[in-house]
Amino acid sequence: MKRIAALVAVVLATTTLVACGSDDSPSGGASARAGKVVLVTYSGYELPKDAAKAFTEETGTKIEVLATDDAGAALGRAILAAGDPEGDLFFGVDTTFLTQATGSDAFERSTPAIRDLPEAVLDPSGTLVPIDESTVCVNVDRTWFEAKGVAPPTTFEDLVDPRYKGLLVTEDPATSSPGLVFLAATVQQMGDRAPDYWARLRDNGVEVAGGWSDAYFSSFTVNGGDRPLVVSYASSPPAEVMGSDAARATPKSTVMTSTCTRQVEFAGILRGAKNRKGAERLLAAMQSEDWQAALPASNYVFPVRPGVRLPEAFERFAVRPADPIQLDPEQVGRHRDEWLDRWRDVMG
Amino acid sequence: MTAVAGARRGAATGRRFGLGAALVPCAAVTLAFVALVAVGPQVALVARSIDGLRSGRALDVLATARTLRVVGVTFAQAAASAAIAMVVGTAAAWCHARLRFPGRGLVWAVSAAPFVLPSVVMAAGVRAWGVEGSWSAVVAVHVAMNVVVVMRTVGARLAAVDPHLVEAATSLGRSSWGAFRDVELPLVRTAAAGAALVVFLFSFTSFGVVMVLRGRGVTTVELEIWIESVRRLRLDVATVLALGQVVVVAGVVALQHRLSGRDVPSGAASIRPSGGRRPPQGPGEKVVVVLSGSAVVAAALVPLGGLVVRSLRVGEGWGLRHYASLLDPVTGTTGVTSPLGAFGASTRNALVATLIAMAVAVPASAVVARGRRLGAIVDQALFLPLAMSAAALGFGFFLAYRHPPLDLRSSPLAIPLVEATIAVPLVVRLLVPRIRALDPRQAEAAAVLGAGGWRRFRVAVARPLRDVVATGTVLAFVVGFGEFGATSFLARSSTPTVPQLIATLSSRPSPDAFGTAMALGVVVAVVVTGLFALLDRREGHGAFRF
Repeated sequence: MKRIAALVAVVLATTTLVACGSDDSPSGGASARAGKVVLVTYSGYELPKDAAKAFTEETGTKIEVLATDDAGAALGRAILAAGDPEGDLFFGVDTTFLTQATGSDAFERSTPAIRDLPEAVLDPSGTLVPIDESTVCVNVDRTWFEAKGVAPPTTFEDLVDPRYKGLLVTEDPATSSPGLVFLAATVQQMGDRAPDYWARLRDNGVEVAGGWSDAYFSSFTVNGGDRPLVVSYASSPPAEVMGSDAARATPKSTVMTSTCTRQVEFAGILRGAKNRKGAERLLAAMQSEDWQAALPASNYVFPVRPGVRLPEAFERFAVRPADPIQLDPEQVGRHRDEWLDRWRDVMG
Repeated sequence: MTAVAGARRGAATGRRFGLGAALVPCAAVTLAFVALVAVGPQVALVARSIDGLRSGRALDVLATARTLRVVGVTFAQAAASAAIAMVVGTAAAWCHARLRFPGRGLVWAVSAAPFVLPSVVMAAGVRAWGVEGSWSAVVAVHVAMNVVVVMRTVGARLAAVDPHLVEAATSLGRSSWGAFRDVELPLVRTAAAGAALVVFLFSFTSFGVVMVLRGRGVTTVELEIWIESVRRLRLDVATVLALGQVVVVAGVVALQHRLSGRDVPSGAASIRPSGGRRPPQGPGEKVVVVLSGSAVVAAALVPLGGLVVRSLRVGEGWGLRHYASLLDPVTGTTGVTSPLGAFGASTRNALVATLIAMAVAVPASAVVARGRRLGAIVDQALFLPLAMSAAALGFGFFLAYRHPPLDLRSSPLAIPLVEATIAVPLVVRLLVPRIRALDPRQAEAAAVLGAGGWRRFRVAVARPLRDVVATGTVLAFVVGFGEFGATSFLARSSTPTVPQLIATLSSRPSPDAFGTAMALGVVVAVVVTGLFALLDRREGHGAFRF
């Protein structure tokens, strides 16, 4: 009898929990009320807390975030739901997915609110609005090379030099965003000879991890792995010293500037948004000075807005070349599948 | 609920336990559930990509040597995982059933931990030891996660072998290996093969492990489906692959169904070994004990140890800081919850999932246990969603249920529903042998004493099954709590579940977030393993046998 009583208690507790739960978990885009704007994005994206709070206070509109694990999955869902979207505003289309997004009918055309944006960060189709930049570079564990008394590599060509055999880890471009940017960068630099370069990378013992966090947190020497070169971001060195209780005062890593490639992240209003006005307002807020200034700390990216003050760690330790490798979204969109197939043929 | 109501109606018409007339409605509940979670999404996927499919692009893309190779290696790794798990699991089950040795209880207790842990947590734990991705790493983790399936299935069968048979064989001069080969092996062979097929299935469709532990050139059909749908946005190509996978899975499920329970005598599940256990004799037995025991213990402790080490590493030194930050709120997509707050969300989801799972599993078990044709259909149907591609299921779910009245795209019910699909087949396999073992004489006796239908049902069915239903409830909860694969493809508003939060935290660039993810992994491991240990004490062999 006791057990039955316990079961009944569990059932009752569940019902209560569910009832409570439904109070604070609104049912997504389906029943968008006024006073709420739904931001569709990927789960790694972190809303800058204070800026988001200020938005809600000023406009009386709550931001609800609807996230899917992978940026590609989030975009795929948005494209499948074109015209009848799950939310109002989408964030998280990057340079490599840009033409797929703008070629679909999922987005309305929006114009950037920030003036004087460099052409390099704009969507050529004029549909989406650039929000941030995350430069992808080969990162170098400075301390590892110092301890070995070896000069770190500085060029793409160095990475296939036998002196640096077995030192690099990159990500599978089929499953990882920085991996794909690195792949596109090699094509951008070497053109038709890129597949040959990949073969030399392979022969020089490159490790291809499944995703960025595997490469960076498990394989990179800075985090206890055994490879002192990793395809990561220009913001990774400052990330080492950021946060309330950073691991160290000076980053162990730096970047190979010659490999740095610009990756821009865009936002756009979803066609058929239920709260279109809210989406416009949020899009404007995301381009505002305060929001842009909060991006390095919340998402480890660079604001697209010129002249925004960066956190100290970024000012001191983020190395950004003045003219990073510039990808052509059109070209990436057209040839992505072909490159991926070639890369996978080469890597086996 | 449904089972009770159905059973009452059945009792009135009367057939053994009064379940006869209830079988059809019970089967209807189950099949409706499978239609909702598996068939609907799959059909929606095909419908959506019909243009792409007509254009023939998918076939052009897939008709390459590469596809053949991917299919080949997916089969090969799953077969290798299944074979190794079968040998290790059978050996461990035999040692547990027949021998007495130090650590015997420990081996049994830890064996389930890898199965119930989220696969991302397992894989991250292995990665923490500096293991680079490779086929051998993938196979090793598949074996580690699934060896428990063989152990429990074979263990249950061994427990039902009359110990006097073995004693007779050894007293006639057989070595213990000879006795095993000639007496026990023929009796457990089918059970071991059936369990191995389940391991094959899980390894064939595994996602999280392959994602984290593959190195250069390692890929599987499941991963290709993910890449095609999520990263390359070629839904038609993904759909063709997903359909191919469903065909393979359906074939394996059918084969497994033929093997499962075929050689289990009615009531076997309740038989406990009456013969005493003896210490291992001779070098052969000792080697088997040490090898199988350490393999099972290592399977659980290596990944867990990796997690612990990783969670304690703070910058250049060591400390508990990542555990302290479990209490800090995480902002952004994760809402306003702290990592420990995500336990609330996980618990809530898992409780709802448990309710759904039991509402389906109880009637389903009745059908599987009592219905012949219908039972076979229900049993196999329940396995399908378990082995479908998680990515395909995610997109299919999204496509199928985006219009009222069934707008489940971001409904709070979506995640529990998917979690329940994973739990249902496990609970059914737990309940069925007990239902089969019910003694009809109790119902007859009650009838003779003039009991009404409801009372007869209570005496002969409800009371004997009370404990095992309670155990099944806990099992459903644990499985729902740890589920990661399929739920990671569902969008979530506000609060994520714990496994989702682990994935999110470890995708952030900050070393602190990664450390916190690992600490959270340790906490999940402890909670889930602890819950499971409780369950195990109650049920012995029952949970995880197939």
